[in-house]
Amino acid sequence: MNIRTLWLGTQALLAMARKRPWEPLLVALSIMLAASGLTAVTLINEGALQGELAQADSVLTGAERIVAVTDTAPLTRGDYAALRRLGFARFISTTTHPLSVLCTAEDSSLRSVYVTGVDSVAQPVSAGNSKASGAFAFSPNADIAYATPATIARLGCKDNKITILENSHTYRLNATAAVPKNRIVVDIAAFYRSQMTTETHPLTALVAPTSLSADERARLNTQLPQHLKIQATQQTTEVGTLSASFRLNLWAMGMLMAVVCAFVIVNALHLMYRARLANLIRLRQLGIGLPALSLALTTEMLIYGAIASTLGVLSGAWITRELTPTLAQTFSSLFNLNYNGLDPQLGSLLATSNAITAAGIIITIMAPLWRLRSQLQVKQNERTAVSLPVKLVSSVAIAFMCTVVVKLTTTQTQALVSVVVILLGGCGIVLMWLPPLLQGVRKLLPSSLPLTQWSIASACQLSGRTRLAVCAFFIALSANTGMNVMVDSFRLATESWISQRLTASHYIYTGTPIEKSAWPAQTSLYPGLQQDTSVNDKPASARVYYPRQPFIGALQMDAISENAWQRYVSGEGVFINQQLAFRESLALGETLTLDTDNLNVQNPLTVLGIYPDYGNPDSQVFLPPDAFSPEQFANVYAVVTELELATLKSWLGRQAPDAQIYARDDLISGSMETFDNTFIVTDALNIATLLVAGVSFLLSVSLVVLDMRQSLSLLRSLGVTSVKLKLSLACQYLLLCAGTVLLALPFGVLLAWVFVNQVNRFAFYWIYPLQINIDVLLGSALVSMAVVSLFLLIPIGNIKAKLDLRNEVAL
Amino acid sequence: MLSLTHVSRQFERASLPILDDLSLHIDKGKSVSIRGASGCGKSTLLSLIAGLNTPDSGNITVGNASLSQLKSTELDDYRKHRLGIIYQQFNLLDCFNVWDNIAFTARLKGNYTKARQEALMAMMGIDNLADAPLSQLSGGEQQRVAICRALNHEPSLVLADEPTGNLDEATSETVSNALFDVCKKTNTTLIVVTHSAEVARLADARYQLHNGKLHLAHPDERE
Repeated sequence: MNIRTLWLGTQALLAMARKRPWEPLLVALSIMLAASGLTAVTLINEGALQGELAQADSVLTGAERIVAVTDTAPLTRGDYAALRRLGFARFISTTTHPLSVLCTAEDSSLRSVYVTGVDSVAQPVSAGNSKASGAFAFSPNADIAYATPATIARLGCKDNKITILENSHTYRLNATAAVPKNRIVVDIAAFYRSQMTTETHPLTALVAPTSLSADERARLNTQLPQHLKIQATQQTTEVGTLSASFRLNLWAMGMLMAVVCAFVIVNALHLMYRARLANLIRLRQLGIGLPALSLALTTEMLIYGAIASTLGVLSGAWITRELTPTLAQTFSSLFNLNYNGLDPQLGSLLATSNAITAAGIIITIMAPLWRLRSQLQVKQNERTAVSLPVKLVSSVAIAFMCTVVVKLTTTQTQALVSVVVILLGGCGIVLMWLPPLLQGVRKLLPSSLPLTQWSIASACQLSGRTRLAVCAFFIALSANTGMNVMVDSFRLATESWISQRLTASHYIYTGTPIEKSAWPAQTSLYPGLQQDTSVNDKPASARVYYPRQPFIGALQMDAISENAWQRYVSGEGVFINQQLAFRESLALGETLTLDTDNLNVQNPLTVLGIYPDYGNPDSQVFLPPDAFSPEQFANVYAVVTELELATLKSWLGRQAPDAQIYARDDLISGSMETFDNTFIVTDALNIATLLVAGVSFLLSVSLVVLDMRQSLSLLRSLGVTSVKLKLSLACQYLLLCAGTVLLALPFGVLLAWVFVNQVNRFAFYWIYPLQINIDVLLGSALVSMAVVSLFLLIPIGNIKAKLDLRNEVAL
Repeated sequence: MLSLTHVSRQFERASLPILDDLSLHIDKGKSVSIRGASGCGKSTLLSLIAGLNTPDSGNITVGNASLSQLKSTELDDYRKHRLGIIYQQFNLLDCFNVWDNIAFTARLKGNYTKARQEALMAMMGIDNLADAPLSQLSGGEQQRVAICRALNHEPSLVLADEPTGNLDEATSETVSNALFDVCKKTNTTLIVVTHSAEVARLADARYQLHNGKLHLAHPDERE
């Protein structure tokens, strides 16, 4: 093989592409869509992550900071003062070191944790900016330290008080989600106490809360001492409050789109090579060897890939930019998170995308190339059809394999593998049973309808010739149905759960308890009580649940023991949420050990009931009110009353002006609105995936229809009118689509079951009842049919059914 | 039965008309062969008779219908009810087996009978191939299937465009004999365009198309 051969071969292939551009265009379009989708998902995820980090960490790391070049010449107070003298007054000094923490001065179990001291006196300069962007700001109090609830739970100190061994100072921990995980943040004055000084624990960074201007940077570069340097903020990979399920959904949808596109590409390659076979054989006859031809075909694909991938990245970045206002609104309402969008680093995105595309092309081209090579080497015998018994045995084997994989799943990764197995198994079933299904339909129709008969027989042929496109459509449709059934089940479960859990007529949110003597007549207030604790030495929260009506009737249980409520009141046992049951493998009647430091309970405690707790990522235990003290008030009251809201508001306005009161129905509708918003983005991606699959499916079918020109011409010459011909073509497409839909629906339901009972179970430790709603299934089917029909009308409408005796006029 | 009167047709970029003031009359049940050099306009002539194309001038009458006065849907009906077409490339519907291919035209017209189709297939010698898929047929067998299809709905006129162009000599003779025999037995008018002198000789009248005009060949003329 020499370069000239390769060059000539590639030139010939590109000429073939110019002559018949549809298949290369389909490949390029699929690559572009995949690159665009994944770029958008990456940027959205990254934007959300940066938003989180900026919110949690901005005051600690800032936009840019000055740090020491080496540990031998650390940052000093003198450096800080010198900078201020030079006019750089907005830098905040910070110091971060791993320190030993005790729960009390007498405690002997040391816990190592990073402690950051921040100059809260200098902070007001930045706090204004920070507040504007929703960042963390704290008051300069020498006895207060800040940490995430998870960090506080991990430390597990009584009264949330800690003592830092190195400075022997005791702090009270305040919970906030706005600091990084596994970090305690204190005022810098409270950091440097006792033995701790800037000599023993030097300053680690002078932080600029907002970006430096070009002028400032230039001045700093010239005036900064040799031992210091400017450092752009290195964002860590710590994650704050963004919903993990949202992130998982986004990635799952992105990956689904990529998989569907991969199927479409392989399908287009098969079609392309089949259309070119005659010319490729001629190239072989002219002396271009198989290796050179294979390499030329790969080179051609890499050229398309490079162009399409570049366009895909650019369009993905553009789409993300256009979506930024909508995303910002969604993130703000859902997660109280700033999403400002990213300035995409196009260079690195393009390099990554092109590398992935090239690798993907080399992998995906193998199967079509292998088949082509065998076609170019020897004359292939006609494929024999798979017999019915073989199909039955294969289908049973696939079903058995899916069952085994699903049954054996014990981790999140295995659950995702079982999703893949089900989808691929489903493809196998579709490929085997779609043609006989269509043949069956044909047999049911009277032979006096020859055009309809032809239409169905032709659809059978199409199903064989576009099998990979059918698979792509099947995967998208099954996933779409699965997601819809899952979300619908989740919605119904959540609605029912919220309706039952919000039993009281009203809820009051207040930071200060309301004296019982001030309660209005005919009204009972049930304070929410809560304590972060641990179960079997794992973090959990304990919440009060009142053992009286209407609360008893409202608590929905997955499983409950006999006389559970009596035993609950007597302190014999507790109710636990699904998350705790799954995490600790706790079943009804088993015992657990609760950290009793701040709780009035006696270990061991029996599991009396397991309740669903949708959406909560943490383990939780319900205890009767006697287990708590009034100080553990969780800022909420359940109000059982017959008074009107207006009367209550008037009373509350006098008793606790800062408190807010909400009617039960308002809380429920607000919660469900938030729920619906959570799935807006994933729904959009879901539909986009379906569109990709639908459009690609139609393009594939349209390409095959190009090969049907002879038949169409013939039908016209036999007296079939143009309108009837177009209708029968539409009937073919829709029949193929309907057959795929029919087979995809049961797989969609199976996928929903796996999503609910396995993916959700192992990823988030909770499940909910699967609700198979016919409306949802019909909705999925109709939407997909509508998507296909929408695009179907375009190619069919464009067919010009003019012909001559030798079929030389294009349709 | 079929009359062409002063028919002319010229393609856009051609300097001369491909059919020039051409006239022809064929009685019902008669067969006509048309020969001529490649590109002389034989297939164009068939296209005009099939109503797939229209002449620049002149008139084509089939029975008592003037094709130029028929609307598009009427032309569709004309092809569906009165015309059978045989192609050089067979043009069978590969999603159907032999039986369904042959039955297609009769079912379309609505005059399908099993007995007639069986008789037709027997006459063409393919009665043992009813359930065979097309991929298993030879070229000669495929062309016989195409002929059966063109005749099964009992058209009054059959147009054959190079019906033996893709067949070897022996098969060509078998197929063309069968075609002329069946048309004669069914009293169907047949126009065959062919390069083959052997096939042309089977027709009741033989024409040569040259410079856009038809020339009647002498019965004893040998080429």
